[in-house]
Amino acid sequence: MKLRFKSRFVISWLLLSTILFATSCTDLGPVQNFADLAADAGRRFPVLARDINGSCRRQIYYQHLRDNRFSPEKMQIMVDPTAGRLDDEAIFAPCKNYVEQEPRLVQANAVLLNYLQSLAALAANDTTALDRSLTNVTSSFNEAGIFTPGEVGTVKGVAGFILKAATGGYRQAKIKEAVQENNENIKVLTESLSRIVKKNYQLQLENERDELRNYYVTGMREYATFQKSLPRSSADTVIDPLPLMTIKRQWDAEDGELQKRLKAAAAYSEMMSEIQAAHQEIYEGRNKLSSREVLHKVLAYGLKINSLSETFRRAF
Amino acid sequence: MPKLTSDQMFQLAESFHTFAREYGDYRFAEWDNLTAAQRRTLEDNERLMRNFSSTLNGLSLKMELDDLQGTLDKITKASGKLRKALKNPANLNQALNIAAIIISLGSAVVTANVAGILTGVDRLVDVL
Repeated sequence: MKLRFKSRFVISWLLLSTILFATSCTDLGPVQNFADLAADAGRRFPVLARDINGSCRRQIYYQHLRDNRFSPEKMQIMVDPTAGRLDDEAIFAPCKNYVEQEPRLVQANAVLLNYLQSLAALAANDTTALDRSLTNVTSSFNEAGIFTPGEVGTVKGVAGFILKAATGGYRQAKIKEAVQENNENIKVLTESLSRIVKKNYQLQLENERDELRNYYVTGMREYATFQKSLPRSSADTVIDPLPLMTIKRQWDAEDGELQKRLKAAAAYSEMMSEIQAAHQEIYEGRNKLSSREVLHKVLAYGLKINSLSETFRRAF
Repeated sequence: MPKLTSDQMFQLAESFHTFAREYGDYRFAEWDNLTAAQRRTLEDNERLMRNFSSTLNGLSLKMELDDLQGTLDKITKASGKLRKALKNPANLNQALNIAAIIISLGSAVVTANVAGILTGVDRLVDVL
């Protein structure tokens, strides 16, 4: 009887501890959420990196079409380098630097991705290890014969909470250390990736877009010039506009694809700015990481990144 | 001659892009006043300018990535540290230590061992 009373006393004591720890609860969900979302968008980046060279090859492709150097097999290789190699690969000389830099660019994004994934993993409430240790605790309580099986369950739950709070503190300390050391590096990296996509990739897409315009507009003009040169059976004979309408539709469709890519590039670039701002927020709030204010701000960045990554996904 | 920066290289790439576009605008605006040969020459020049733009843009990209290498190395190192922290047995050991302290504290309470309770509370405060 005395033992039962004491066991209840222990449970009460543990419950009191729980309430005390509850005031310093360490749910870093929004930090994990932000890092997960940012990393998810980053996973699609290699497709964009590949498209810088792809866009340049398409630019050369339209030049070849204009020169009437059309051979279906060759054209397939031109737009899809994995389909083979051309004898005259030298025609892609303007794309040489894009090809060489593609792996480095993918690597730079992967460094950011890896960092964000590590941050998310540390912020996550992964209780696998804790659950294992709690099973040992339960066995100890059972062996000691202090509690009834029902009470052991209660103690396990309470002890689990305390353990999570303790390891939460450990996670916070490591996150604080990481963001403190890397805030400036993340700023430099996100700014650089943003610049590359916003400036270099967009300019290449604009070059491709102008080549596309040159191809279609020149073709349509030449068609009109040719039509005008034909002998007329009567003064009322008009130039047949049907081929032009079809060509215009084709041009619009290709231009639409390019615009999707331009929008995706802008979204990626904006995502980099949001990642930088969110990291800055975590950095500034590193001493009160689990405070509602910091977590709310980080959560808001996570939501913005999620919405931007939707635009990015539409093209890649 | 001092080397160009990535930004300067990009500005050049942008300029060639603009030149090509303006030549194109001119060619289309003056289409009917130009001979076929003149149109072709203008178009070839535009193409050269546009290809120059792509070449310089690629060089600017290379220079940007060259400048970034030091930062990439630092972040890679930091990610390794974070992963290590996650796998660090100290994390689990800390959890197990706390569990052990809780058990001993519980036992101290049950046996009304005041010194044990005080020591247990102190130890718990220390590890948390």
